[in-house]
Amino acid sequence: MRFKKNHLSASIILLASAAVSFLAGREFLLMHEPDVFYPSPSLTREGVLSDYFPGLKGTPNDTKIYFFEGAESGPTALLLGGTHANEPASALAAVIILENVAVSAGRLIVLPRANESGYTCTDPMEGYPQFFSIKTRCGERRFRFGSRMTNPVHQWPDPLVYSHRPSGQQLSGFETRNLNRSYPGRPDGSLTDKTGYAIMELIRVENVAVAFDLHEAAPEIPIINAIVYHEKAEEIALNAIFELEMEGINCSPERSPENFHGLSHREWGDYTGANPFLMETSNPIQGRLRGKTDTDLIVKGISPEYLKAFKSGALKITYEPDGEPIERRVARHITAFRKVVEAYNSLNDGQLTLTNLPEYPDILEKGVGEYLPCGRQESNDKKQTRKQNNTFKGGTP
Amino acid sequence: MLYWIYIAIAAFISIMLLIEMLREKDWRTQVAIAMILIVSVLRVLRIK
Repeated sequence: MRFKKNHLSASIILLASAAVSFLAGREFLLMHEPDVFYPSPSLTREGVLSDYFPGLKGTPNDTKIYFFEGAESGPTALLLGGTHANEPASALAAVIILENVAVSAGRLIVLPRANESGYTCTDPMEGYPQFFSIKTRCGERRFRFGSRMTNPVHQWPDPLVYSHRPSGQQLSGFETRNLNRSYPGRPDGSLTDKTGYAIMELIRVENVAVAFDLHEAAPEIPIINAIVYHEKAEEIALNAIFELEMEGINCSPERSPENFHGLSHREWGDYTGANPFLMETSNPIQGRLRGKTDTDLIVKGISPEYLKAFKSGALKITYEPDGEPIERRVARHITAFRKVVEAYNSLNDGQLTLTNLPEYPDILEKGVGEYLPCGRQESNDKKQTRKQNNTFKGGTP
Repeated sequence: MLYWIYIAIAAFISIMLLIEMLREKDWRTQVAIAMILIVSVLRVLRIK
């Protein structure tokens, strides 16, 4: 084949394409680097999801599990953040709990990245930023902002119609990559199915009594600032909501529909002994009416478009005039989590005692960065201080 | 299994696009082909 004029232009364009592919690929691969967490000194052990279902070993969703066990026995709670990686307050609330909690009785299990694969990409056609930063006492700490779904690089192709098993419920094909439509999961299914199955196994094996799945939703979605509960957990949920309302935090009770399958608040309750709760806050960046889509919208949650829609009254919009800052969304999640645990304790034998969790007004006043440790050094310092305190309490001079 | 079949299809499409680009005489069409090629190569490499 002779080298022609069009081969020269093709070669130049190919070189340019290779450069674009390299630069874009490098940006995309940055999202594959896992986040670093600094668990509180109460951490007793770490595990991975494949400990409960070996079929997940070596997959992107073999996510880390953190165990906090109190000195006294008591019930076990499970907390999931990051089921949907484009709902940052849910994941950030789980991280703050993970990095601050102290457990004196019972046990807390935290999965801050329930669908790790979702953190390796963003949703197509949305123009989402890949990262956002939170100001802490020692500078900016960066977090990934991912996709609602499992990354198609890890699970591909989508079927035309997603048939949920065992219910037979049919949804759009892309929902096959939605962890919160996959429960109770299948050991021989897709990566998302296997992840759902492993979480169900974790709940069963660890005998979880109360389980939380933290979420966010667009301001125009009806279930906002709400706790969705399985019918068997109704009394706990209503007690917790009453306590939240008494503190001036509005929260709606939403009973899990019995015929809507694949969701944590339905299937965890139907297939395990756990009392499941799913919590929602208002997140403007997920909405269809949002304008400029940037990191400010994630952190400050100020959207003039939503303010206009809210003022028009044409739609039911859950949006405060001063925006929906991440502080308030995280504070809601942490406070609701604490209130549900307290309600569980008041209605059941055995106590799950969690301390050192930030209070609602403190998070609003000081910001979420105040509750994110500066790094392993600070975490170790805390551990050392605790060790010394324990030694002192034990009577050693 | 289906996953690897689709990766193979994407790889095949990438090769066909490359051949088509070398045959094409109009540079503007070559640019259009390159824009599709970038996407399919990134998928074959399992980057995006």
